[in-house]
Amino acid sequence: MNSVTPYTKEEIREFLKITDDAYQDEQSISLRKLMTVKDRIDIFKGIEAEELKAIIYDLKFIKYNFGDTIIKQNEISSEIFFIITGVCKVIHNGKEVGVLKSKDIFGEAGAIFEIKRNATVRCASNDVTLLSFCIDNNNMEFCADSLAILYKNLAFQINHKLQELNYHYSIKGHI
Amino acid sequence: MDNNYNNKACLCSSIENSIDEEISDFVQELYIKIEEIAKKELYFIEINRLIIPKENYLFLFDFLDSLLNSFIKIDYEIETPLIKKLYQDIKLIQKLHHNYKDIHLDMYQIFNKRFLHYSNILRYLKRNLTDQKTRDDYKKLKLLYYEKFLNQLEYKRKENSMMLLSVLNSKIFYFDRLIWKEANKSFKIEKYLDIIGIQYSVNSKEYLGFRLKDEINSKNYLYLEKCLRVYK
Repeated sequence: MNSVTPYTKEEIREFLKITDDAYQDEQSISLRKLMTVKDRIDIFKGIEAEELKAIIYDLKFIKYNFGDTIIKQNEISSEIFFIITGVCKVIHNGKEVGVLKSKDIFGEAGAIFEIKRNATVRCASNDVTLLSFCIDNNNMEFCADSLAILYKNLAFQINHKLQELNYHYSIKGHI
Repeated sequence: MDNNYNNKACLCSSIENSIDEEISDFVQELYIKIEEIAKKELYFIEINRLIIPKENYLFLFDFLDSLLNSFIKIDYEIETPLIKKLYQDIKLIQKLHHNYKDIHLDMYQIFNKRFLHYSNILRYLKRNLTDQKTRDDYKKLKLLYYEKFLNQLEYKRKENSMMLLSVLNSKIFYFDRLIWKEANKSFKIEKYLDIIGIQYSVNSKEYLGFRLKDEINSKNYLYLEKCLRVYK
């Protein structure tokens, strides 16, 4: 069996130069921003920063104004949204069915189950700031544990929403 | 009574330990070369503080391979000795990993054809199958061996496979950057990129972003899109 090639000192120096450059460049402004808010976002709890960077993509911080539509019912998209500031309305079949505020997430069902959006989400206040991202499922080899934690956190969020719905309908039933 | 029970338990645990040790030695010998290479490579990475990215660069290799080929056609000088070395390393480790996966296609064969001859305990028992009871005991022990054998082999397989993949991931990461380092120095490639509409001094991320605009209807689109995700 062959052994892999040995490298000269000069070649190793070249690798080191690339290593230095890699630490300095690449990290986009969005990723740097994400690291500053990471701990405030429940679904990222328990995930190390390096691994978090590796399991998400298309990370964006977006600002919307009152009345802007963020997602439309029946659209297909894998983006997940986290509300940093502002309030949004949830509209299903033309009827307002809920309100989302800071620290709430939406769009996770579409991302996990690859289904059409259940509802339209529209801004109900000015200066709505959102963080949007997609999950990179192609990284099972190196970040399986972090992906598992992220999905667990998302499942927790979905469960929480279902519990709120149950509570809402049980109160309505009593009235 | 208690004493008798303790003696038996002690004997059982000592037999179990012997079985575990025998299997462990076999598995160690089976993968000694692959483990040696993987550990040597990881040591090289660690001692030089090189990067093993968390992002998955493994499937980028096909894209980088074809990128390098197309660049070589424009300017053969971009293939430096270091790029060549790294390319050969990647190919070799890919092959090792591929063959390594194949070894595991038939664990039962390995057990039957190699391990049964290797194990002193099983060989000894097989030579002394005098009656039905010894035959039954042998069968039971063989089954116990096989279960333990599968567990240890699977554990070792995962461990070695992960080491090889980490080494590969690191090498492909440096391969990617080396290609662009050389490409960005080449006047001929600068001209080529300029003609196709990409600004000079690019990297895989920008190049993929540009290619994707042109390949919306191509069968490559999904693959290139997957590649772009690595760069975030």
